[in-house]
Amino acid sequence: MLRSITSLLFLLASTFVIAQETTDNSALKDSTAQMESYGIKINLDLSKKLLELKNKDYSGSELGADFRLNQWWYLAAELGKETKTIVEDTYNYTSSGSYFKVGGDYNNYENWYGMYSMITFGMRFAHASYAQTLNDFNFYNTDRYWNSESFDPSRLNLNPIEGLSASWLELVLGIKTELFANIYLGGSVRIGMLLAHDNSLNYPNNWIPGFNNVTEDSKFGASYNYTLSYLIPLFEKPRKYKKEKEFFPTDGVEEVDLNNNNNRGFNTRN
Amino acid sequence: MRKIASLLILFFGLLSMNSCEKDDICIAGDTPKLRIGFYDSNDTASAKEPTDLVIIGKDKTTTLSKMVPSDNSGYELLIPLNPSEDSSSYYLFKNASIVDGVLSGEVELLTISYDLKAVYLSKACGYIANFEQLQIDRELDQNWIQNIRIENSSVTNENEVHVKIYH
Repeated sequence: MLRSITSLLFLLASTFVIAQETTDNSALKDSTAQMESYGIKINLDLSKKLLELKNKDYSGSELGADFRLNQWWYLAAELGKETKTIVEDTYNYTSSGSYFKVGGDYNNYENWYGMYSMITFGMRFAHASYAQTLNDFNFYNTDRYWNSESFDPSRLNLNPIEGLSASWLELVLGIKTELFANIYLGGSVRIGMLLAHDNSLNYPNNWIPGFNNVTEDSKFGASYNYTLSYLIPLFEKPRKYKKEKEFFPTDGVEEVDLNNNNNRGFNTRN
Repeated sequence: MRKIASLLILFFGLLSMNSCEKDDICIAGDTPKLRIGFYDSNDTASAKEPTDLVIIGKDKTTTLSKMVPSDNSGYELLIPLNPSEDSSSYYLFKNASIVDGVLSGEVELLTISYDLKAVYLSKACGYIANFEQLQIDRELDQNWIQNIRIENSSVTNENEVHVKIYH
């Protein structure tokens, strides 16, 4: 049983290597190097606009850009503003502000000839400045002696809080695919880790523009977006290839072949 | 490819962790009640139980009469203050009796006024009320209470006696 599993693994490994070889060969056949465009990609956020249509309590917009440094690395940045009214059981408040994110993306996707898709892993440093307004609230009170129907409505008004800030690091998993020449559709999932957060005030503070929801006692948050991008091509550079590791377990295959005749059929190399 | 798969798993793993929020249940606290202690007017150090005490809020139909356990084996009572108003009024009946739904006895009307303060606790709780600058007015003829002393003029917790009533 174990033998057959290992031999199956070897089979998979060998097909993998074969596939790799063919792409390498096609690259070698080109006597002239393949040129790829470099430039600034402008990313327009779609998800925030869609949320705006769906949700009356939300408005937001974001503009991003990335600049290609070499075959794999991109400089990336986003600038945005968001306003959201958060409705909880006993209170509701509006959080509003702007943010920027700066960092880099690594394109992990090996494109075929003429393709410019991206599967990127990236990181950002992000900073938001925002203000909060408590719209109205009830006092949380488990005793219902004086107000039997609901939590006690408050006659107090708390002043809005301005000048709040937060900074965080973000891990970004992103994809972009070229729809038409220089026009890309993309999306990203982001995990943020808060570095600093003004949270000692007598105010709810569970949503930061650009970061999304903040969980109490946790530094982590998650967000996503969809983007439509336009690449402004500036110059061209020849394509580079990663060095492929030599990976072919010749010894192992021979050993299996010698001991078990049933495995012979699996070995596509012989 | 395997690298991408493992990173995807990591990503969505972290996402699912993020969705487990405990922020939905309020466990951080509650609006505190006023703790009243009853003492002997002749011997101010010793607790004295007011016989058949019944307390009822002004314009209310529900009575409060249960004593609560205290640290010093005294006779203490927790009464809720109204966070929607600047004051709460209570009738205190001693030797109370209820006959055919009518409450009677030796009655005192206390009006407790305060400055409200909203204190943010957590996402699930939101705000609780704290009561500061307590003042107590006796509005009816003085029947059975000799003296009222405010021990602690801000109600931020229920652990200590805020008001001592001597009778």
